[in-house]
Amino acid sequence: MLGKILPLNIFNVIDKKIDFSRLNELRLRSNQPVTVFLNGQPYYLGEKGLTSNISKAIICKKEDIEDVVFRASGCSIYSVNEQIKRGFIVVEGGIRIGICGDVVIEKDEIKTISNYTSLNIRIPHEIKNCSLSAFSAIVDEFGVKNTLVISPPSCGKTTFIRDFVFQLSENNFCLNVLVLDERGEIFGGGQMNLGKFCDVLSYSTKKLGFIQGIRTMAPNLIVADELGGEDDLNAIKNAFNCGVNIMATVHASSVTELRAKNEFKELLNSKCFSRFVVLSSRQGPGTLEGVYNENLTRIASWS
Amino acid sequence: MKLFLILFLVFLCGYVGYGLSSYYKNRRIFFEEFISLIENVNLDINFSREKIAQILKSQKINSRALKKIINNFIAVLETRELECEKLFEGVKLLKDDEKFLIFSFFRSLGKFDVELQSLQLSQFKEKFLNSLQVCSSEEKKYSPILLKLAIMVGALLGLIFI
Repeated sequence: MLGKILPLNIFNVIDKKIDFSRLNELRLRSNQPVTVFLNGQPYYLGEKGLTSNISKAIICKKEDIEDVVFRASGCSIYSVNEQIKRGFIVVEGGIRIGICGDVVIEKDEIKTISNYTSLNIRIPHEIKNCSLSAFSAIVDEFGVKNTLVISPPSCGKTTFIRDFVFQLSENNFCLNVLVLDERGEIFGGGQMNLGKFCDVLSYSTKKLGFIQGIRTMAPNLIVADELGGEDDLNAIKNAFNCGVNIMATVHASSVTELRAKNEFKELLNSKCFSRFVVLSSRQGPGTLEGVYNENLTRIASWS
Repeated sequence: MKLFLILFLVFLCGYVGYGLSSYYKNRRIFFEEFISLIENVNLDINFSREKIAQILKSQKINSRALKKIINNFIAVLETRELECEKLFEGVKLLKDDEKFLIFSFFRSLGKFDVELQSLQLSQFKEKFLNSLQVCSSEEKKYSPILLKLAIMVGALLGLIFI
């Protein structure tokens, strides 16, 4: 897919000189060197491969950025404008392209983003069994405990929940799992294997997705990525009141940082979530730092 | 035999005349279909929001030249650069200024959000309506003359040969 959207000079280097399985992220900024992240480590991208020498790096032109967005939209910007309004486009394979530029606002609403200046292209990877170490701490004979996966950005939260859903099915937990794939990253437009018992609601907001999903799919477990904002938390609270279990992710580097977030205080005090999985990129993205219980006491760690 | 020869010459020249006059007819049909293409694309962009290649592929078009241009455009979409020569490869029906207008139309496709794209399509439609008007009046003016002239030439040749 990258071949269809990237400028040829950049794609040729990635294709021939870089181990794609280690590539997490690609950053294109107008008139700046192209930066790639391999296993969480940043490098410049030069004509001959990775380099730490900025003078040898490929410089990204503004037209390149515009071309990437145009190609990522299937040569039809209008068809992805709802995504662009939210700051990203997701293309085949769950590759998410974050977009920066001029935000056009009309009547207090984002109308579109124009004059693109930088892109963050995130490459998802299926890492089989990456959730297995924490699996037994999250699942028991009664089902899946309400779990919040915590980590800073790019530390493997999405990869973790994707594998967890797959493992449920692999281990024959016949639970109806509903994945609310707001950005299309978890399911990757059908390219990621989520197992036999999984239903996916793509590109819906959590507010609408939780209501619709509970009404129509009768799930035992709802999995959602990146909680944030009052709407998301209200949707979660409503789901708890419907007797549905939830696994979600949130940006924070530790349980202490999570505790400091005002909007989460009520949820933490009510002890709705009984497991907290903390990930980091200490030994590469997806490093399991620990599993905590509802009292935020560590019950398992890997160091 | 002589009568048959005269009839044959009249028919032959008439056929050539019809061929020459159909150039104007084809141009009119081209612009008529182009305008209805713009209308359909506008509708599809507003309602289905399908990708532009899908929208264009689903259009029913009779004009051979327009079909060719659309196929060229879809093929060019897969590659990197939209070039005028590639877009009009195998198309001889159009004048240079018309080619430029059509090229601008295709170059703008898919570049904007729904609202702007729709506005742009409406503006292009206005321009193509002007082209259609010119083509229609050219057809009315030259088509019958060419046909009549060709038949007369055929008859004249016949008389000369006899």
